[in-house]
Amino acid sequence: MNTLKMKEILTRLSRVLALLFIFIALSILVDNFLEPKNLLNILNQASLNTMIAIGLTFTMLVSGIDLSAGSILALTSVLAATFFRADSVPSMALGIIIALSLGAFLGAINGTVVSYLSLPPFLVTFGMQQIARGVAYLYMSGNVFNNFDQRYLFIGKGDVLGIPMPVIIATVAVIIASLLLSKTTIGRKIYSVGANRSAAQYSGISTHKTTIFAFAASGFMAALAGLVYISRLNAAEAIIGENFSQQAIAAAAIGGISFKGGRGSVYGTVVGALILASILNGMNQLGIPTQYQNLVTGTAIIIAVLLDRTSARVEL
Amino acid sequence: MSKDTDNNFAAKFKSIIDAIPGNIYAILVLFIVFGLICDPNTFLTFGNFMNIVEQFTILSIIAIASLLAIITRGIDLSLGATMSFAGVLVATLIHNDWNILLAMLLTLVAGVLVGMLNGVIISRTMIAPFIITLGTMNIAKSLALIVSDNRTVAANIPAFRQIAGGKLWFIPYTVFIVLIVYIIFNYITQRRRWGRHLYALGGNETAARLSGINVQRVKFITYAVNGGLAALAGIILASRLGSANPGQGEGYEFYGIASAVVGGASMTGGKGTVWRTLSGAFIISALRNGLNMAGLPVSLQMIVLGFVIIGVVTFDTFRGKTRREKIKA
Repeated sequence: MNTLKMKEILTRLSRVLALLFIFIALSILVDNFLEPKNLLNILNQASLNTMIAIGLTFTMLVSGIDLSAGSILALTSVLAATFFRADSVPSMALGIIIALSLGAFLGAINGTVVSYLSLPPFLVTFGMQQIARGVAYLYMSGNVFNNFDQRYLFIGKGDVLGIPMPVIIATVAVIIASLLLSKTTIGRKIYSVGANRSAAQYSGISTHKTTIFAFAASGFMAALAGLVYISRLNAAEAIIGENFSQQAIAAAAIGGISFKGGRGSVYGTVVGALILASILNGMNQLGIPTQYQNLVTGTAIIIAVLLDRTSARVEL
Repeated sequence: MSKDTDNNFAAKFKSIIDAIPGNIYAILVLFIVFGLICDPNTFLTFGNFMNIVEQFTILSIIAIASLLAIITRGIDLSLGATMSFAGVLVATLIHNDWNILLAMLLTLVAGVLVGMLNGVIISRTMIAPFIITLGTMNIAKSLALIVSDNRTVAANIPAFRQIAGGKLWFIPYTVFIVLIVYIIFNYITQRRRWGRHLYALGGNETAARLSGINVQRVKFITYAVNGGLAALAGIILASRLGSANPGQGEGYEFYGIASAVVGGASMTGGKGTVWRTLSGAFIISALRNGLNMAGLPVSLQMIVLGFVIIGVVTFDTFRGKTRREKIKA
């Protein structure tokens, strides 16, 4: 138990140190990097990825994965967008409820298929990725919805006391998710199912329900991120969010969420998303061409997991 | 067993039926269904069949790479991006008047290098191949963008286009390339020690290690070979299209995995054969082509493909279960 705690602390610490290092390096290289405005900018850029990555964290904790998050985001947000247009009868509450519940529902389908049929989550969610994206295309048939009701734009573009709304929403989501994982029974169940499924089952945990819950959480978070995203874009189309799942997986992996399940925390994921966002922000300001962005993301993923291994080795 | 000859005959007949891979039936059903749905002048024509074959040859090379990783209980997500990178690299070199053979050789080496990066990390650490190859996928994607400067590179040189366009009588050269690759890999995986080690490793890594198999080396070679195969597929695709853009290999890694799984490979490792993967790649190619020929919009094609993948995996899992139960009984 003690060594496990040590491991967690070391992993978490290595991430925070990495983030700190990146911040110091960039503040030397880039003028105005540490200006409040730029820091808020980084937070704002990280907020969407953070929301999706929280969902991914849930699925990865039960040793799953969700490749469909980007597509679920697209499908739920185009459906919701129908209700946000200024020229239709705007009924924002209805749109938001539909998007969030559909997201959770699609995630729950993923979870049900993965758990009851014990199929590889990778392939199931890849199937869902195709299906949800296909339905989104079908629904939009090449159209773009834009010109949303002014009030709706607030959640993507507005701010409270200077803090952008997406940052506030992401922060609330982080707090709720981490409380859910650390303080509630369902959170405990998620960790134990991920650590050892059969042990969890024998100790009376409903592994099916737990898995379904984790995948539903991922769908829900994707839908939430979609609502913020289309508000920020003031447009919705079927193609949005194509590589969002990958970005979120990257953030979670950099944040130390184990692919074998049962290890990691929401805070790690947040740090992972912040590391990615601050590197990209710094690169932009340094005028490094966008072609190099993936190179940096890829290298960051690999370095982060290698760090994970060394920190895991320290106390073993 | 039973001495009853009738029973014996029935058992024999059943074993013959069982011996025919399920995929043959799947291919038949596919062709009958699409033959009925599609306009007779579209799907069931020789020209379209050759079209399927062209798409299939490229996918089948990626599928073998996916299979190798899956047998070791790993996964290779970097294949599609490596393929794009190889495509733009070979096109750029040829565009700059390099010798074609030299350009292809260098591209293959570059592919192997990307694969070796995967191999080094995956074999030396216990980190999930999923995340390592996700990292290298990003790196290869970036390399493709950098080499091509985010533009489409023309490679419209007759000699280069011959690779995918050339035909012996009516059979494209690529079919021979694929056959050679498959024969080699079938030989290696079924008859050579390295192949046996590959399956042993996927079945039970600890047992494999304890019985003296150099697990690290097997894994390293697997991913290095995968990089080379992805580069080969990238070269063929560039030759077929006469140009290369930095995104043209995207998604192939998923279709490769789907092909291997449709061909009976199990994501939990240690299972799957080269020839059945070939049939899996053919099914996926024919399915995609058929959906297209049936005039379905892209949206519906995606939906059907999604259901088919989940359906096939479900079917395969249950078939695996019933067989195991039969063996137990």
